[in-house]
Amino acid sequence: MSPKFAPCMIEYVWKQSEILGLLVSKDGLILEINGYTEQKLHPEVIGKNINQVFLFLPEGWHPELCLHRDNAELYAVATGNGHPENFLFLTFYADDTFLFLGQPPFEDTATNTTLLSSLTTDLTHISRQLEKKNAELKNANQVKNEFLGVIALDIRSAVSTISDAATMMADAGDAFTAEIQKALLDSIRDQSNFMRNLVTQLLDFRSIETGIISLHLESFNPLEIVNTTILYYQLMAKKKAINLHSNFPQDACSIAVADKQKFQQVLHHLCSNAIKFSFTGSSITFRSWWEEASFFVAIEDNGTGIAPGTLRSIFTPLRSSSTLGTTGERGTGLGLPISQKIMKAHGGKIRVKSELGKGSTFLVELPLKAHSQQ
Amino acid sequence: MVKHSASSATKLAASYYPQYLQDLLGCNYAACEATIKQLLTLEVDLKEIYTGFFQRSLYDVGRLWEQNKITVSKEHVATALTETLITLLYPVLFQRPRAGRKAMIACGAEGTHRIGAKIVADYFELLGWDCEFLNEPLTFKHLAEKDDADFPDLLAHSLSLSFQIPILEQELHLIKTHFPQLPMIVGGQAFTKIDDSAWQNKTGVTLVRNLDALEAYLLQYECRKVGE
Repeated sequence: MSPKFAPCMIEYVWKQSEILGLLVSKDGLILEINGYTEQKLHPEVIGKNINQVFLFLPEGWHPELCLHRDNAELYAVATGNGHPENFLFLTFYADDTFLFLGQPPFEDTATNTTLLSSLTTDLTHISRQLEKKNAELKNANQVKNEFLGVIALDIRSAVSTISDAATMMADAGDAFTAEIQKALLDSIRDQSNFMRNLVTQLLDFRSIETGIISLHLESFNPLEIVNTTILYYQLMAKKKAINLHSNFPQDACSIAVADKQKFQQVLHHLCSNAIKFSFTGSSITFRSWWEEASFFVAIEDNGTGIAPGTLRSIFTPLRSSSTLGTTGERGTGLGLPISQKIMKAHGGKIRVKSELGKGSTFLVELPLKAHSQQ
Repeated sequence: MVKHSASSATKLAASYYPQYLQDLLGCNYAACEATIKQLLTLEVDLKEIYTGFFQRSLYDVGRLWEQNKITVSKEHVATALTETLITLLYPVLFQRPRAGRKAMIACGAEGTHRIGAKIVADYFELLGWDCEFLNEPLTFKHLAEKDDADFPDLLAHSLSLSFQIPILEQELHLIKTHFPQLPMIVGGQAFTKIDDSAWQNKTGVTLVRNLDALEAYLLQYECRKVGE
């Protein structure tokens, strides 16, 4: 470079650049500083010892530290705002005087900016997820409170019916005919069964939600369970003049390793639900088949069907209320969430297709060898 | 507290913008935070804050960088500050009523360019959608693992860097093959030079240019659903 530019370069470094410039005597006294040092540190550093400006020099500064050194050295300096800052210093020696030129570690700063930006992105993402989850929890808590209210009303209604029937029978003595007595006893039995089912489902739900779902695996033919379920529900279906059809090869046999009782519980729930939401005189069809390593059973009804908006949440527990059946049958709304959890614990699942006013099909997939998804 | 009408709140909010941008460029987080909190106190519409402050300031910052008025480092800090400021809106945003629709939003792999996708995700929430923001590029696996109850009604992918388009195209094709009924949209700076209809013909995926176009698309989506 032409020496003609030397004066303007000196002018630039000493007055305008963002480079620290300090002239220091052999004894370590600061003799002169440039404009940026004046701005960054303090004008009064002139006359002080370099040890008071450079931090973390446990044995103090001495000239040998800088002599014969060609590479830039990183030093922390005490700045005027009280925060230490790092600069990469080159040292030059002439006429018993040291010239320190220190530039900020630009590469380091750029890397840190990128890293901090990336961390901010991740942290704000976590913050977003937390806020969203928090809103969901608040909503779930509200739904849970509403659900408890509905359950309490159901229990009070059942207890009142039992209490009224018992009081009437006690007060009437022998005045009631056998027919009336039977009707009252039937009512007591029905309401007791309703409450027992309610409490059982609440307990099941509690166990499953707290993660306590243990499968007792055994080998059995799932088709037999489907047949047993159909038989079990014939009487209940008959009361609504509903036909239960089975449409599968009865002689087919394959063995599943699963929790027989829990699988039965799922089918019982789906079957009673199908009857509950089917119209009097309609029919319900059971279809079963094996496909690859799974057993499938589809329960198809021509009942009320489910509205598209509701369909997504039918496996969500603690919806504020469950829908009444076609003849006013009640339920807790817990059966489907429990059934789905049971099937998932087996590594299977329940799918549903439904059209409002036309009916629903629930498809249960049971892997022939259960593998827990918990 | 003086209540403002929607239009006067918008005008008032707009008057805060120049100072907000200055504070953002000065990396003065406290001042920016105070402004956003003030807007929330004034019950300025969240859409107005997203478009009139966050989106607008990011465009302005980007333009200043392109004009060599600010450094890339400053641009990154302004983006990071904006991402942090957006979190101030979340307690209000997620308490809004839901419309029962689910969307899945994905973004490019580049960490510093995800804010656009995040704003899109938040905009979905603003419009009543339940939105899952992936914070990473979409793969077929994300959908294959979904339960029926969690399966999205719509998929959106935002991309900032155009060289990532070919990889995205492959994933979109795979998803389209397996889930032909699933509506998909894309958007972001990566598509600036892509022709809408050419893209639509090639991929079968709709290109949505900005938040207004997104709102119009979602409105059409709802109309189609009602008509079905």
